[in-house]
Amino acid sequence: MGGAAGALLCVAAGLAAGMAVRERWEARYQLVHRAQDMLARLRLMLTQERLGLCELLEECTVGQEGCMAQRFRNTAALLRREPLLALGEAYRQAEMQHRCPGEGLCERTALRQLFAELGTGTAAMREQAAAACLRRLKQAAEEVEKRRQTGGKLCVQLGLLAGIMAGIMLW
Amino acid sequence: MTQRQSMEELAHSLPRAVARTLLQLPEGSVREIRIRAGEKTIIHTTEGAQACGQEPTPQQVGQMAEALCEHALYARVEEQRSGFVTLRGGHRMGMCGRVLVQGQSVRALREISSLCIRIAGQWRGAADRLMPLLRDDGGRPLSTLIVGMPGAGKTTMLRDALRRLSEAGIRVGVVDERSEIAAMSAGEAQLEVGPNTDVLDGCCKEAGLRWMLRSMSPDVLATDELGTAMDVQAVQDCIAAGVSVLTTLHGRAVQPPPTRGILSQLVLHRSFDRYVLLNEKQVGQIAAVYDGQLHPMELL
Repeated sequence: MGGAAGALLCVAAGLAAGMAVRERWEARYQLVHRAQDMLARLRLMLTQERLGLCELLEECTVGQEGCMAQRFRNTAALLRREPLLALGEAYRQAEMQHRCPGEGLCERTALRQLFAELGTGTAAMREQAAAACLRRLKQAAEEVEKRRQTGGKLCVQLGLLAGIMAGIMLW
Repeated sequence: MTQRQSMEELAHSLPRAVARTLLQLPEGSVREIRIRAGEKTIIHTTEGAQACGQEPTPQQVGQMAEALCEHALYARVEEQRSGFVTLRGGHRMGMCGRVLVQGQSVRALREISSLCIRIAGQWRGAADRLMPLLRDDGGRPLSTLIVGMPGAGKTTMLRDALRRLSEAGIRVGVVDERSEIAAMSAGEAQLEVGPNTDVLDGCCKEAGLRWMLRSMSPDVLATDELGTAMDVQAVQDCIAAGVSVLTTLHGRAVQPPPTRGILSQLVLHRSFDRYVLLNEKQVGQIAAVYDGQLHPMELL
């Protein structure tokens, strides 16, 4: 009886582990897409509107939910509070305060670089920085999408398989 | 926005030591703040100059310029080309640094090394002595040109005069190309321009004057710092259309009439009914007033 319960527990644990990995991919996928949406808007507003960086960051998060939007808003708030802070530094501080689950190294680096460049240069240079970041995020999104479709399913299957094997051994 | 609030906003974007000194000064006494890389910040007041704070690096001067412009310096390239930008509250920030030139025109300013912030003043009563001379016997406002050296208080005098006219029920249209007259922010004037005043903010004088003339049926049009032949033409067109114009111009003298420049053109065409010359040495003081024929007039 105990063996059967243990086996079932192992199967469930394996399944949960697999699903957790898939959830993480899903979260990253959503995060990258939201960041892309916000940056596309930011890029447009850089060239079309005469906004300060704080307003720009707030405007591009209008209607956006989630951790990344919160991070952008927090960057703007920090900059308003401490206007002499460099934008890159304000973003770093906001990043520390809002850790986004599922955020990968690729998008983290791309966004840090963007915020380091967004605070200096002409409108055209800033627009180029946003475009470069968007390109990098697009690559990340494609990679995450691929992994989400194949890797996510695989993780669940592997978790299930590991659970079954552990269950058989316990039986 | 009171002068105090305006100074607090300004101080928020300056290093702490400078901000502290600035906020300790009596309200309305600050005239100018000068920031130079490697030198202490100097605050010029009605009482004299005062050095304060640390010596900023060129990078810090650039950061201050960005912060003072609410991190929108990138979007104000056109303004930078003429050497200054207008800050919230109507203050003028002049900048020096390395100029990037393309052909014969200024493309951008880099490596900002010094800033000169001229504090916009809302001095009620600045135009008190002038007001009796700005209307004819029938009460119609007269076209007036205020002439003075930089920092003589031309814009302050203009603002106070148009506020007084507006409060007297006259419809005033302001073309505020550099946001220095009304200091508009989110659709509201930060400096007092009167209850009967419409402000066209950020629009060039030539297009703005015609716009106001067509759309707002003003009794008086006001604009700051005529600079080009096109500005002069637009002003003359407005006067010819029967609208009085109140404006300012950089200059040292009205009489004898200058032989060169914009002022000579305006004097030659007898465009204005009044010419007001401001004192070079005392800010906001009137040195002389002339009628349309350049005859001196007596101030009360």
